Amino acid sequence: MASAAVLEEISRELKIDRKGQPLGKVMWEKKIKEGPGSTPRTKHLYKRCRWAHTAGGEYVREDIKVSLERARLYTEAHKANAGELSVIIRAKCLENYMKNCSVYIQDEEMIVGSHNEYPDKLELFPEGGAKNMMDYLEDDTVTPPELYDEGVKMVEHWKQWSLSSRCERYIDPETLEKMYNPVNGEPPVWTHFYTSACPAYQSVLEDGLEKRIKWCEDNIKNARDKIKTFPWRGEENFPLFEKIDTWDAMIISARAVIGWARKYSRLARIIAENFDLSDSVGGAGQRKKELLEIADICARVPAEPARGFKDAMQSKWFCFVVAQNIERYCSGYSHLEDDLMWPYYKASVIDKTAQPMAREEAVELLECERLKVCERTVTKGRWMRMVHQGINDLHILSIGGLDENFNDMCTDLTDAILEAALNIHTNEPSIGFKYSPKCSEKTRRLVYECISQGFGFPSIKNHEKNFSHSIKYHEWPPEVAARWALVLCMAPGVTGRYSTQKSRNEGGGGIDGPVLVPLALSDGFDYWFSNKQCGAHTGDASKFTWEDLLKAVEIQTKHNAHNHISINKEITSYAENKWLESPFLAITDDWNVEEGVGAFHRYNKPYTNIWSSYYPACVSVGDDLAAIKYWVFDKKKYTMGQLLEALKANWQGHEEMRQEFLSAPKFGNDDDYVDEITNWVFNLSCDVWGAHQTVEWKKGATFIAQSVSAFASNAPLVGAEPFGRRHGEPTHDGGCSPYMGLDKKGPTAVLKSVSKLPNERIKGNQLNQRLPVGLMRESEKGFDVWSAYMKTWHDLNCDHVQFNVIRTEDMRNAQKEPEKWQHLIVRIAGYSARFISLSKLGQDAIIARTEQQLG
Amino acid sequence: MPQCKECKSFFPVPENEWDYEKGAGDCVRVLRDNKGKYWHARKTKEEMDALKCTDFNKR
Repeated sequence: MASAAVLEEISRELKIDRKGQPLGKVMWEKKIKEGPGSTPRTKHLYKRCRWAHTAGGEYVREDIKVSLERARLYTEAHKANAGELSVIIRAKCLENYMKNCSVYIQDEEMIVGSHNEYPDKLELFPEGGAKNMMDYLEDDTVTPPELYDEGVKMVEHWKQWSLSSRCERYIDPETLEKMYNPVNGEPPVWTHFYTSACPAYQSVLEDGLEKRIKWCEDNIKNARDKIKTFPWRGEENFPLFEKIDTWDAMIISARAVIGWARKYSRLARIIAENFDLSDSVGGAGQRKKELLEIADICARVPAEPARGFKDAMQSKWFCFVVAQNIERYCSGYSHLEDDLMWPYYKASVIDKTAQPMAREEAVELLECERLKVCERTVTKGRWMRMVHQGINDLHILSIGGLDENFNDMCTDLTDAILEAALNIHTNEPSIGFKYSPKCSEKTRRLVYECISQGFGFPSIKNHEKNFSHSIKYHEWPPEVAARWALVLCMAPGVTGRYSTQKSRNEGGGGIDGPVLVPLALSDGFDYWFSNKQCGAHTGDASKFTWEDLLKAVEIQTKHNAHNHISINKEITSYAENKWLESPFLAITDDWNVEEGVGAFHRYNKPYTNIWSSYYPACVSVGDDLAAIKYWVFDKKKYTMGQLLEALKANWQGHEEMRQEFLSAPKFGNDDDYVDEITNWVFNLSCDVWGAHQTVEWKKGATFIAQSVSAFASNAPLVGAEPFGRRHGEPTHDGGCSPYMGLDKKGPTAVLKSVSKLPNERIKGNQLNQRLPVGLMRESEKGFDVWSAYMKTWHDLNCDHVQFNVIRTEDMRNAQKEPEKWQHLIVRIAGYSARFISLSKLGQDAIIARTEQQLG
Repeated sequence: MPQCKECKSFFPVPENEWDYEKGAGDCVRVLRDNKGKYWHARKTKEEMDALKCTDFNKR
């Protein structure tokens, strides 16, 4: 039973007078009436937030335009340092940018630091390759015409030096064409220049960069001493040359970042001492004081260790901006925030020993952080923008969980993070909650309240299941495995100081699951979108036996997985390490500094995180195969030839047959007929992924079943499916979520179907569920009912679940009058988005999800 | 011919700063758009010709 004391404590902290009503209902009404934000500052910042999300691959706000400042300064330094070692060139490029870039501070900001020339500007990455650059330059909705010629000259300069040109040379044209075909899955990293990293924030917060520079200097000195020692030992000394270069590059980069942070210090002081601040929400005196404090903080961090919460928040933000926005474009906001920031929060809020502050001030700072993330302009390739509709990027932070001794890691900061999310009502960053029944009731209650407000987050991952999976499949030590944080939507990765994930080549990317059966039925030829041979040749499906069909699916899976997981990732990994290092990212990590190796170095990496995905997921393959088995091989009502004819016609003229295939057993109804076939598909996938022995990791890749938003964006790419879906309609929208509306036996049946999958082998398996507003937001018993559901979910060892709590009526109204429903947030897949920014297809898919009745 | 150093927006980079160069300064202006205001700094040189600068504001 829910504790009344916990509810009262939360209501008090949120300053909610419930008057006997359900907390969720009162919060919702308060938000509609007063708008988001717990203080005048965050109310102001929310109102003027520079949302930077995209929809359909386009930037929703017309003010967002290209700037060439970064590209110009990087190109200039690349030319000036021609002939230098590649890792030194990368450091010099960053240094030139840091030294000469613009900086700005917006009104009322408490956390400063940006990656662009002006607010709302998109900075480009010419070193990635021509495809992405030209896509931006030729789009006159984002690139001012006066920048076009200069941009094209940059593309010309980088032609032979870009990541694309470094990678394409290793692949024959036929394979390359298949890899570029979006029907098969995510195109190679070098086309969209989108990668994923987890900077080792902890080391910077604890040490400060000056100490890490000193460490590199000492390493260089020791290496030079070793080199001059008699007698010569070539095996030991030879590698030192490259290490010295790498440490040099780290030092150049870290010094540049310290200098760049101090430009913010200088600017804050200039503003405080020279400009009219009388229109600040707290008055001129207050704002002047804040700016001088910002000046003090930016002079000290990230050069020095963080003392308190304000230092830590600022230092973390600077590292994020540099590592994930300037040095390289990296998606995500991966960190275990409550664990990472707890010592600083405790010092400032609980113990008041450094930068003392009230709890409300800390919550306000967390709200500011959320808004800052929402303003991040991103320049990933069009493919990635299209599959990330309604958001800027996959900004997902993690909280909660248990330590290696199974003690609750939730703290007052965990709760403050959730309260900030409740207050400010932004869809980014999403929050991943590491669920265990051992987590404190207050935290679980706050998780529930966020869900009941319709945020769609926290998404919930089973802590214990992911802890043991990380130990078994990645061989992380228990104390490391316990502190996992989501790298992107669904994938646990290493946090802390040592050997974190640095690139998408290690973990990320994926292939299209739903396309596998259509390809198996068409000898690998895609006649729906590209009109090309994009899969393997598997023969004439009209003559298939059931066994032939399974074999064809297996071959298509291996073919696409090999191209997209192994060839793409390993070539990119090689090229990035050789030509496109990120020395600042490297200096954040103890292992890289200790060994003198770059961020993308893979040999002897202590903790690896080799994974890749299906997105959209392969649960559709189970439904497809079950429908074929049921009607063709068991009932024998139709032949394979008839099925192929109906599919080729996109079921047109075959509606009766389509209805019968739709009525075949479907995953999510606790029906062994289809669940066993789906289990075969998932086990096959685990085997295929596991067969990919990447550099330095012989246990093979682990796989994640998810959808991002590709269930909508990829709908035109996936042909008609045997389970009854027509070409162009949304595909399955999760990793193991039943198809919309085809789960008819209630939430427990869904969980039972999911529990039959080999979850212990799978790194992530996304389950979307939709729950009624009446229960979750407007009923006093909601928390108890939800807790009982979560207990079943946890007992069945399911991996993941996330909830939409939203009325169909509200979504329909938002489609009609979007301007009145700007606050409406929905869960898409691994992230939450503003509903009005979704495509109509995406909106309709959310509306069509089955609303489960609990209790 | 007006020069950047004569402008109210010019703030010399102190000698102890990492990005100090002789004559270097920050051109700091308050800018406004439909989302609010912000203070923007970009690198400049004190003897830079400010004749065509529409924001030139003599000290």
